[in-house]
Amino acid sequence: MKPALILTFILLICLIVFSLADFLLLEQYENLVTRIESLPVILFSSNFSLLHNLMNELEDEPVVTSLEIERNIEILDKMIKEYDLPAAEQILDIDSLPNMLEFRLEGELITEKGYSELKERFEREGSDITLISQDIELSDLFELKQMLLLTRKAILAGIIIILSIVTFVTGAMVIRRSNYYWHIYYRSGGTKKRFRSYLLNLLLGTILSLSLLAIIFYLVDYYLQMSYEFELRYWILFGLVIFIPGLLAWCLTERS
Amino acid sequence: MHTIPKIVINSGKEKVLTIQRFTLEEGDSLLLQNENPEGKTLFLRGLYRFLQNSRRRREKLIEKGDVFLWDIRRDKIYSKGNREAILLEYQPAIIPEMTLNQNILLPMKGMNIRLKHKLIDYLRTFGLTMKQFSPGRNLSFSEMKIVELIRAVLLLPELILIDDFDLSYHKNLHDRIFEMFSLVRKNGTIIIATCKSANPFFTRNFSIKGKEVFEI
Repeated sequence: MKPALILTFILLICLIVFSLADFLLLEQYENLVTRIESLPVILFSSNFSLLHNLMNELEDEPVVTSLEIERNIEILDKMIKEYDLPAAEQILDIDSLPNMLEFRLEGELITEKGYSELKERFEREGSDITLISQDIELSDLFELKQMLLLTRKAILAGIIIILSIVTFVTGAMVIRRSNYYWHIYYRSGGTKKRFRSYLLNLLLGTILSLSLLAIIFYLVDYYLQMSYEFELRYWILFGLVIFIPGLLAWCLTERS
Repeated sequence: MHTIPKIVINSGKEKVLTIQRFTLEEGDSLLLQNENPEGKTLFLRGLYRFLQNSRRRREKLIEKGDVFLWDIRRDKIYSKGNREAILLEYQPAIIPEMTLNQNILLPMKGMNIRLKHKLIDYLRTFGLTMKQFSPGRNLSFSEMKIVELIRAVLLLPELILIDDFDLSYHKNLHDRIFEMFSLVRKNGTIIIATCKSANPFFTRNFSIKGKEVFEI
């Protein structure tokens, strides 16, 4: 029981530190995604059917959302109403005004490469289409997003390595320190299986640390409204990352 | 009844000790008497190692009339527990951090009232009642040996093997120990001890001559 508690305590601290770092990164990532989604991409063209065909094609694209198409006459009406310019209708030539297709990017899915491909596709349509977007800001945001994703992966890899080392070292230490106990135990006529006892402690340490983490998540969400939780695959991954090095520690230490 | 086949103890290719086939009746008390230090501990270890085999394997070995070979260099004898036979070596098996009571209860799966009364009885017999909660490290060598003995007796194994009986227990304690042994022998436990001098308590005597153990 004691080894399980030691293991639980160490693992829990590691997992809390990781969760906190991941939570802060996720918050930044979500802010970035919102910022990307708030920037409109506008296409102008005098050829309405061309824009309409493009809209139909873009509707199937997962990286594009909030598609809106407007004819030049609608744009003109809007302008006149909005800026109160009734005289403009007589002065302006309706054919000189372009039609407009506006859309947003799906912040979660879009990448710099995906956006470049989208732009190339519009360029292929010829000079009839004019693209207006905040390219510099978008490029910065994509770069930042990529960096955050990489940092998150690095932190995940780090915690996997740390958890493996911690479990391995704790396991090996517990085995070595309990050698004398088990020697005396068997000499005195005890018949419990040492491996079974170790396995039980390892399982208990794994389940207990993950359960406590789940409880902490629940309490933090309940009292501080900080909604954060692991996906199921992370729970399984951490379970394995704790359990497998523990078994490895047994195989390497007990035999030596 | 237990039948012990011929046991040959080797150290690599060199033969160290041979124990001739013999039988044990329930409640027997055996003494291996030898003034030389060699062989006594090995005799007990050899027996203990043989008894660590499963009952089925032992029966098969005896039926076929095979010799049980044991290489002392390779085999660890305390790699698993054995409730059938308990070997009390000269160095006491006590955990210093645990109290006297915890040390006694170490191999037990549970504690019933009968066991509790017996424990109290034995502790009183050996004057250890006041030391029940003392850590193992505070006990004297003699007290540690008594703790080990009480633990073995409480487990009621089929065999209790005691190494260097005369060196481990002071003469003043012998009467009380034999009284305790008489009680466990009634339950069928066999006592096997090694000693430098003869002792009338033991009904059967063994000796070592030329790396061979035989009954006198």
